[in-house]
Amino acid sequence: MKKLITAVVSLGLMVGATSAIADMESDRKAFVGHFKSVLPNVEFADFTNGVYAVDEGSREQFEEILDGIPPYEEALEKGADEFLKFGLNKCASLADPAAARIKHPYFDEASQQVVTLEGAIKKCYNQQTGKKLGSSKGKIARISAWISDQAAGEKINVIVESAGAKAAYAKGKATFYAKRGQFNMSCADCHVYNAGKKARADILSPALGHTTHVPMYRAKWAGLGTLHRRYGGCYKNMRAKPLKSQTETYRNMEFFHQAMSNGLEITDARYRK
Amino acid sequence: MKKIISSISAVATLAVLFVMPLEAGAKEMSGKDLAFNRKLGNCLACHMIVGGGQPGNIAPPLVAMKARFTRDALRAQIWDATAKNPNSMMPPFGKHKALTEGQIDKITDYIHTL
Amino acid sequence: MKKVLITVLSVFALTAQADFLGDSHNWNKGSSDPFKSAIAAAETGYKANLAVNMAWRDTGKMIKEAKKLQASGKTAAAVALANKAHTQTVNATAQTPLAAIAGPLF
Repeated sequence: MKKLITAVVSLGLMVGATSAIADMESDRKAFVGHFKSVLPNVEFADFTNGVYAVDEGSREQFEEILDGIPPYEEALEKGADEFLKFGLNKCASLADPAAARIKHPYFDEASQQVVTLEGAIKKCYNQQTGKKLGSSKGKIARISAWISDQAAGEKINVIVESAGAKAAYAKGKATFYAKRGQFNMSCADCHVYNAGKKARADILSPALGHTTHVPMYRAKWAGLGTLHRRYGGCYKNMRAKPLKSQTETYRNMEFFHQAMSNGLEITDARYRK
Repeated sequence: MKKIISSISAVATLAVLFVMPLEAGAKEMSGKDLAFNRKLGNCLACHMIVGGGQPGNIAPPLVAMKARFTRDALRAQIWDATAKNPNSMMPPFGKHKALTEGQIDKITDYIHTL
Repeated sequence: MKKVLITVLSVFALTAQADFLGDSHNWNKGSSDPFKSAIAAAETGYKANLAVNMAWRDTGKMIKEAKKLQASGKTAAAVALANKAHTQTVNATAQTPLAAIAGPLF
């Protein structure tokens, strides 16, 4: 009898646990559906182009910049040199750059952690040179952008399967939707619910497609920056204390954030305002 | 002569003592200044206000305010919009002390005239 | 007569100054205990917010600034700022349980 009760109780707990853990694919469908309803004129594939898919005037400027020599061209060439110079091609994780971009972020069962592309680059750089690499701008952004360029045209395909992966995904999702800081805002407040609308003169970029062009060049930065650098900037805007790039919370959020863009093409058009 | 000088300097000192706080008072921002300032009210980030350049369109335009809000209701909305709607994106300026109570009063008075 | 006038005006002016400066100026160079408890509350709250990645942007700066004010003898201002920092941590703590369960509205 006691055994039966235990079995029933644990079954109940299991059911409870699985329903609490989000199902990525149904989340993604709802996410895409939301953007279809708020931005009905934007084709799914065009979400890689962010605000430029939303606003015609901005798009013209964007295309002019891309038609000329984009301001990040030199940095990308430097990133290509650095990839070889520091022996990053010798690490199994990065030996095939295009594959590396598609594989990351992924959930590593051994460490029970999300491994990002920048995380893999940092680790490899350290193995090859004995030195530490930053996480937000400069060398890591150049190298990561060059690696990502090699996968241009391929589709984002984040896999969330194991229980550990689902837990990391759920945490990342909560971080994305949580209100924080003195302004009590979430990432989603701007980039989901109000995507395409204007804050003063700035068009709020849709979160769908955000990760297709990272690391990105921002005119505001006058340089390249990683996704986590942007997270830090958004935190500051909400008057929340930014977390360090590549901390677990940001890696989990990236895991969720990239998964929502599954099926969208990675692009080398990495210019943003 | 000396006496005159000393009384003049006394008057000058007093004048400085008087004028300083008064000047600081005169420099205080109006409700409109506070509402338009990007680091304070920054209402224009989301709301259209007639006379405000480059307004956002995230939230409803601030028009016909008296028809829609009593002064108290408007002040409450600025103080903490999440009281009415927990999902509101509007920062709870009073609850989170992004603005002082005095600043909220001035902004409320100004917005209520729109 | 002139003397009386100057005295009256002086007192009035100084009072006006005092009112204007309000609690941002230190009139009481007494015990530092109110500061100690205020700053301890702020620091405890801030540490808890940091631990769950929900700290606010300016709380750390406010705590630092409050300590500087205290060191330069401006106790009243230091206590006021420490209390402000503490209030920030209380509000950040209130956000924390909601943040853990946040999800889409669609």
